[in-house]
Amino acid sequence: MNTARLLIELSNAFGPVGYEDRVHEVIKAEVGPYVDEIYRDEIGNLIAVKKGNSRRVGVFTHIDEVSLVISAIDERGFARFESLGGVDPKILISQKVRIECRDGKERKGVIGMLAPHLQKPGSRGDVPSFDELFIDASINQDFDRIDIGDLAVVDFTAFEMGEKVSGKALDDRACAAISMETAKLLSMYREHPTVYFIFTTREEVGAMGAKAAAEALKLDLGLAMDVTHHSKEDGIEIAKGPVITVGGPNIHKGYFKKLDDYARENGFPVQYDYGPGHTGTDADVVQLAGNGTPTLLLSLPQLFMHTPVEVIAVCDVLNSARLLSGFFSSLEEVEVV
Amino acid sequence: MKELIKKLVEISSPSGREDAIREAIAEEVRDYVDELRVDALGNLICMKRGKSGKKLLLDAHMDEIGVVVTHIDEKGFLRIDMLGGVSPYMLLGSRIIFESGACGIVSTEGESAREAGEIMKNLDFDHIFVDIGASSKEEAEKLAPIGTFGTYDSKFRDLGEKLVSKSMDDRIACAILVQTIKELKEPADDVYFVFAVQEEVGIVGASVAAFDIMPDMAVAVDVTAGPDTPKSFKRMGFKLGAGPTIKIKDRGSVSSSRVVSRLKEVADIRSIPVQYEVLIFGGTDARGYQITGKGIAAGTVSVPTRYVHSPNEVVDYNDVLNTVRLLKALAEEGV
Amino acid sequence: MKLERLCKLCELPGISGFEEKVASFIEKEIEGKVDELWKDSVGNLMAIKKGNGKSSRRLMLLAHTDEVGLMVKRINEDGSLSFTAIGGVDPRVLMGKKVFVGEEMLPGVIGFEAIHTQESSTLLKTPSMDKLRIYLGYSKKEEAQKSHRIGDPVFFSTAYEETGEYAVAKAFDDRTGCEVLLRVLDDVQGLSMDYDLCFAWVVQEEVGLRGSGIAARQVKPDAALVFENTTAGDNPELPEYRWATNLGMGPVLTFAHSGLVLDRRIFDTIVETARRNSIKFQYKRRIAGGTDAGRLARTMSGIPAGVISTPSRYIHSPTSIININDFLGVAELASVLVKEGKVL
Repeated sequence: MNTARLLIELSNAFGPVGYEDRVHEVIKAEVGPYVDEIYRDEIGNLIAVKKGNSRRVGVFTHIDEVSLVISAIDERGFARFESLGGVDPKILISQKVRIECRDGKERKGVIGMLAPHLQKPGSRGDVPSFDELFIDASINQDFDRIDIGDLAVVDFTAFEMGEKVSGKALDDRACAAISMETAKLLSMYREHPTVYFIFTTREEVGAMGAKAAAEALKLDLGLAMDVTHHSKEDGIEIAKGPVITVGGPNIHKGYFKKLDDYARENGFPVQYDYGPGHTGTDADVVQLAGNGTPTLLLSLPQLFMHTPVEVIAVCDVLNSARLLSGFFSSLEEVEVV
Repeated sequence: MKELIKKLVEISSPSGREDAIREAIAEEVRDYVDELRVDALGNLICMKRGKSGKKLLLDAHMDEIGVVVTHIDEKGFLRIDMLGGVSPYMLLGSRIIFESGACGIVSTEGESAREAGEIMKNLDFDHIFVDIGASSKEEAEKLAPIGTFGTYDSKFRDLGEKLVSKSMDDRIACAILVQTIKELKEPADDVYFVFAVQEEVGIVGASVAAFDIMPDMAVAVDVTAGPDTPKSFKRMGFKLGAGPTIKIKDRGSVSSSRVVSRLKEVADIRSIPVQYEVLIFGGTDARGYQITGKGIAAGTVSVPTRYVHSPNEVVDYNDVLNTVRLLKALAEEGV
Repeated sequence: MKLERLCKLCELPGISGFEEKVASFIEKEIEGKVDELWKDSVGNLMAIKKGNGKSSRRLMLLAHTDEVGLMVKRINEDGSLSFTAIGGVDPRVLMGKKVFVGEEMLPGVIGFEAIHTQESSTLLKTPSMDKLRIYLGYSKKEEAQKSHRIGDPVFFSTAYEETGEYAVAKAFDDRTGCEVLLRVLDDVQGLSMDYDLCFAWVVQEEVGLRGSGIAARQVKPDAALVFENTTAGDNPELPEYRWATNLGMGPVLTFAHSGLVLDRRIFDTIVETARRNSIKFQYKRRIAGGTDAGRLARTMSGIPAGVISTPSRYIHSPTSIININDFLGVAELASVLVKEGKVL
């Protein structure tokens, strides 16, 4: 599958927080032939292992997506909902949603709200909060089969826009695509560490998946990848290469220098970010796993994070994969950092 | 089972002061379990052996919300702070029972009607005090010195189908686990019963109780706010009397899908009524188990409860009995 | 049974002033079925099915071809497009949507600042339309200028979808009316009518009822029936006494709306006809909204009209919902009214 196609498939796959099984299927089918082992752990991470020397490197990308869960439904088929992960109510209004019900059937809904003239005086024209929004599921003849706890995502089909891709779940599945491309490229190197590609669950509700996996794997280096905001002011732009977080408490200084040097010496386009405290990514918990794990953070610039129309550049994905496969292979089996 | 419930809910044991409730539970279950121990934090951990080689962990937290004395004035009035999520509005006009045995009444300040009104609008712990009947600082310091813990002083009432008391959160689950221990004859798996400490101040006991056990599945049993009262939260749809709820998510965690589906399966096998629950706030011990070590498949079974964290929490007795049936079913059918 | 033609009509792009594709589609559908057919200077599509000469009177059926949408107003330095609304578009329905830009229908997205970087105090404030942008993947103004210019139309991208009794789409307002006229025309094929039956698929309703007046002048009807889409309020945030209409209760009959009390005799005839033919109907229970009937009443010496609407939830949004039976009821009632000719 070409990278743009892979990004589209990953973004379209249904995988709310804690229910990422269908994303697993896409990943297994694509990366299975390039790795030595692929398994699901107890908390729900998918882990693909590329065997190499005794040095153990983990790459964390989360594959859950911000989503909705039905929290109540009335006798006319109007459902109330709660978010899984941080959702801006502004981007939910008038969206079509796919509701996955426990009977295995998918049902449809439309997120509705009041017209401004019908809103309460004082908040007229304001964006309704989650308490005032609802999913109109009455359009399903069998809406009575919808139950509390059924999951919903915005019905958005990803598409290519020139050299970019727009979709609902590119945070963070675009980074999962980097992991997959990295696994493929590693096959071309004679010597490389054993790399665990951890496709994590539950990042959007507190990085619980990454914590569990990092505890179990006891890594020499943990590299988390997540999306970051495109911001010209901050010097981070889409299509200008991966973003390396320079430093701060969450980043291992020795490994940062190695990655940075490798990128410069080999002419990779990279951008830089800084992390003054915790980084709000899987890297936070990976660092504190076991007796402590050296941690790096690589980010992918993105527009419109946590909306159904997130945008990333395909070239950033490919450059990240080339950088990582080269960097990992450059690490000595035994070295002091 | 009502006698057992009455016994457990009326014990005053706030977070960090669980000795009394732990002793009461240990006394109830000692003769029915294969192992019983208390860990370093004070969690009571019991086990009933099964044959499958697998492990199931069932949890209830023993602590309840409470208050602690922080200041005593010249006239013997106390100032307090909260342990866990205590609403000053709920406290107002309530009786407090302190661990020393002293009893106090909570009231509020205001030097004019206008000031009293303003204070009532945004009531906080800086504007309430406790009267323990002392007439001097010295007397009060004897009755309830700074650092004394207390809880609501409220008795169990049986309204037939509905039961009322303080600390149904989470003594109702303690009673459910005790009853399950007594009724459970042949568990499929080794079943660990954890009576955990300090849930109300931040899921302390449950974050470590399973570290040595690493069960195949952990189920926390807790109360959940019942949204079926007049003009209550429209975004929640479960109710009292329709069975225990299988939690999908709350603010603390998203239940593991395997636990959700297994609970539903065993409920269907035994024809036990259950509901699903999405709680738009709150958290349970399930979060602690889920992120223990390399991760444990964890979820929550809840007893729908009205007026949670008030002196008068209300549960439905049929929900309680059905929760016992559900836990027994899970223990007998296996994880 | 999917309503294929309604599906095609709804998916066609046709914001006010850019209705050509809709009009052309309808023109192809009716060729050979009418005696006269022409497009006027603003884009109204007009047709006449002549009567047998027994009566000199004329009845006009009217629906509007345009829909609400957006128009490019500025190409920004970063290659994104700023836009303004064409017709009544609530800015709240635009964020996080895919749109088509220009006659070539290039796909773009209306994104919004990530929730992480927004101030919590403004999270529930509706941004002004000017703060929203269409992103098409360009990084500079010059790139965007190759394919776009100010004045380009912007269309919602929603695909039509049916789920049993209901349908979800953009532009039910007023492609349902357009389709009602097509169905009436099919129903009267081969019938000898006493009077002339005129059809007007008019433009620019959404920007101020601008197409209907000149349409009427061209055929000089004695009466008109306007087929519209109207707001349904039947959602859980609104108490039932405030619902203007609700889905599933049949065609909506209007006694009065903004700026017009509709002709009493025509209204009574519509109600009586629906009752006699056992067609379920409901009244519009709010004096709000406006239709081309308001313009017709103020045209020439005044053309009396009746208004029959399909109720729609979330009208003017990219995801409106109708009940298909309500729509079919409107079409059935329209056919009966035309065949009986009593409204004239």
